[in-house]
Parts: sequence; C-alpha cells; structure tokens
Amino acid sequence: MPDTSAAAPRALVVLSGACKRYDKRNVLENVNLAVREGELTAIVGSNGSGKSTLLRLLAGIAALSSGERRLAESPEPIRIGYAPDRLPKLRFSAREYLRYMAAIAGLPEEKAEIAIDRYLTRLGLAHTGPLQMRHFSKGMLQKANLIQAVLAEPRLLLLDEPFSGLDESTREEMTGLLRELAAGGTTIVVASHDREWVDRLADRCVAIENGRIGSDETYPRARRRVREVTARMPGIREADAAPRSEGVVDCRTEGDVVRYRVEAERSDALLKELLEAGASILEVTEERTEAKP
Amino acid sequence: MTALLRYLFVYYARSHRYLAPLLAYAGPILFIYSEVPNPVMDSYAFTAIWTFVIAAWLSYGFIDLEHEAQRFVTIVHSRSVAKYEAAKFSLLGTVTALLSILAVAFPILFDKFDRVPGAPEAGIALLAHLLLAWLGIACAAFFTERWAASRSLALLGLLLVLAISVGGKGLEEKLPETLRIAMWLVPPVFRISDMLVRFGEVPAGRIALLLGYSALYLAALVAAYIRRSSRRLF
Repeated sequence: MPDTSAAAPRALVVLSGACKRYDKRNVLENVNLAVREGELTAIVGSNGSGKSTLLRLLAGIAALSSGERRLAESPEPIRIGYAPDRLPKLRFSAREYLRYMAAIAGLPEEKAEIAIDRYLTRLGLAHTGPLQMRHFSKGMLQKANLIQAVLAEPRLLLLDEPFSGLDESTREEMTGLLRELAAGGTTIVVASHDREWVDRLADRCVAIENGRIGSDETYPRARRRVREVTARMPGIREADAAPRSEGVVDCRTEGDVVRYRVEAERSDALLKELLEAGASILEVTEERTEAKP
Repeated sequence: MTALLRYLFVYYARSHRYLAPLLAYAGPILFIYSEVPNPVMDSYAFTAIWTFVIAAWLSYGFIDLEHEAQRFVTIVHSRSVAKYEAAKFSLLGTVTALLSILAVAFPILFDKFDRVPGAPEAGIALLAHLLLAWLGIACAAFFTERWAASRSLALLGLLLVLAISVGGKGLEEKLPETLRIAMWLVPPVFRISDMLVRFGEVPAGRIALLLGYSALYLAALVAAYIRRSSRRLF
C-alpha cells in the first residue's frame, strides 16, 4: 500500500497534493510524501518518471504547480544538501569549487578547510590539485558533487542518481560515505534506478510511476546485521564463488578477489570455511543493515 | 552574500563572456574621443546610451551563464533564490558602475572636451550613466532563455526593447496626444539622453524628477524580476 501519510510524525519535509507541470505536461501528479527524519529513502522509477523533479520539489528549487511543501519547524533553518545528477565541467579546481560552495553555505573557513581535506582524501580527489573540473572524469565529478552536498553537514541530503555510470570501486566509496552519514542521523533521499543500491542501503523505497507514487515501502527497522567479507582466492572462477555457508546474502568476484555479504552471526562460519579453502582474508566490514526483511 | 559575489565573479571571469561586450564598449568611446575637442553633454549623451546597450549585452550573457545543474546547487547553498538573483544584479551593477565612472572620467582626465565640465554637469552625467547601465541590466534580465520560448525570441524581444528605449523620442512624437502617456511605460532611456543633450535648457527640478522617476522605474524592474524568479523557480 502506498504510504500517503503526509502528516506522519517526525517528517522533515512534506509534500501534500504536489503537482508539477512543465510545458502543459504533468510530470508529477498529486504526490503526498513525508520524508521522515533519520531515514534513508530511495526514490525509484524509470527515466523520465519524475524522480529528479520530485527531488527538486523537496529541495525547494522547483515551484509547485499546485499543492504544498512544508518543512518541519525547527529552531534553526534546516540545512539542505543537494547533488544534481551530474555537475557540469566547471573552470574551478575541486578545492576551489568546494571552498566557494562551503563559503556560500555559510560554513566557517577553518571548518570548511578541515571538511574539504577530509572528503577530498577520503574520496581520492586530493591529488587533483589545481586541475580544473572541466578535465575531470564522470566519476571524479560525481565525487566532487557528493562532497559539495555533504560539506556543510546538511540535515536533509538529496542526491540525484549519485551512482549512475560509476565504476565499482567509486560506487563502493560513495556507498560507504552514505552509510556513515545515514548512521550519523542525516536524512537522505536518493533518486536512483539502481535497485542493487536500494536493496543494500535504503530504509524506505518510494516508486514513482507515471508521475504518481506507485508504491511506498518501509523496511522493518529491526533488520539483520550484515558483514562484508573480502577474500583473495587465487585461481577462483566466478561459478566457484557462489554462496558457500548459510547466511551468505550475495557475492561478487573481481579477478581473484571475492566479496561476500553475510549475516553477521554467520560470518565466522564463512571465514572458517574460506581459510580452510586456502583463501586470504583481506577485510571484514560491518554494514549498517540488510535492507530486505 | 560576499562569498556568492566572489564565486559568481570568478565563474563569469573564467567564462570570458565579458570580452566581446567590453571591447565593443571601449571601441566607439575611444573612437569618438580620438579627435578633440568634443562637446561635453552631447558626448555624455552618447556614452550614456552606449553604456545602456553594453550593460544589456553584459546582462544577457551573464544572467543565465551558470549551468542549470550548478545553479540549483548554488541556490540550495544560498538558501534563497532572491539572495542569489540579488547577488547577480549586484555584481553586474558593480561592473557597469565601474564602466560608467570610466566613461565619465576618461574625457575629463585626458582633456577630450572643448571645456572643463563643472561638478554639476559631471555629477548628473555620472548619475545618468549609472541609471542607464542599471536599466540595461534590468531590461535584459527579462529576456533570457529561461523565461522566453527560445533564445532567438528572447534576443529579438531584447533588441526591440532596446530600440524603443533608445529611439522612444521619435516614436513619442509620432503618437497621438492621448497615447503619449503610454510612453512613460517604456524604459526612460531616451528621456535621460534628451535631458543630457538639452542640459542647459532643462530646469534643475525637472532633472531631479526625471532621475528620481528613472530610479523608481529601475527599482520596480529589479523587484519584479526577483519576485518572479522567487515564485517561478525552476
């Protein structure tokens, strides 16, 4: 059942009866959506379904043709971070650009510098130095895009297709960052047609179909903890890497490296089995939750 | 606001979109002053009109310069569309104010006139340049891709408004008496230019009224633009 509870408690931003028309075409019709504080909401739908428009309405940068947008009452203005589906190729270096965005957002200079250093290093852009963003690859631009959105520690983070066209390692880096932000309490809304991402991270999935909310599914809060086990297994073939122990949610191979996602309480059994099979364990990390109940 | 201004200035400077209008601004002014002596107020009337045209050009090239996706980001960080639009006007206003000062000071400093203009003449000339520059910015802001069906229609509309604003005197004279009042809706560019040409004949009170009216007209245009931007958004 679609969740149309526009007046749900703890809603940070609410759209009620929201309609958006462009050139006499209804892009969104009668959308009722309450973005609840602390949740990581995925907006899914096919290309042109109205996901990006919905994000812009939530951000307050698109005007409603009819309906209403309400922000929660708060002693301080609710800071919003927004990342469009792609940044243009700008004539700024990443650091310059982020400094400007931080300053415009009102971040104190010293705090901004610390945050910029941290994120540039974390997402592997620290080496770009004076290179202007017009020379960046798509992945690099997406990283800069995500950094500008999170830099000022927004309470509501709106991301439009942040994983589109990225290679696996960049996706992992960005997923890790989002997971941390969500764990830290940031309310996140991501428009994406990447179901894998939705399954791995989202607390809630809102599907847009023909400009309307087709489904609105909230996953149970008490979900399984999941660990990611990365192991090197020389000579392994993809077919051999299929789930071994019970509790393995999925696995992916990259060369001779295999990444298993496994229910936390069953991870020891998997580790034992891998070691016995002659694998080297490279990393074991804790995921926040497993999306599917 | 300062951070936003700095960012917009660097964004604009690195686009090089200012080059053509600035060269076009300097060319005719240097040309008319290449011969001396020149009549004071007639020369100022010309440079004021030229400042209006060039300011409109600068504005046309700047208002929609920022890439749309980046514009969304900048506005979200600014937390106000009105603040964002006001910053763009302030930046253009400052740049064109510098051009106005140059246009008024250059012929005095380099002795290009047939006589040294008095302070009231130079002061009124500067005010006229400033008002026309800012009117040019405000007029052009309404004729951008964002608000017109197409870029060519926007440009056509802008050129029409510029032509009527500059050549309004002739149009006014051809209109029947009852319709002439409607010409007060046209940007008062031709009225300011006419006042400069007939500077010695126009009473001071009338000059003050005209400049006051022009300032109000400008304020109304800017307010209408910012209000419309804030309501329509994207």
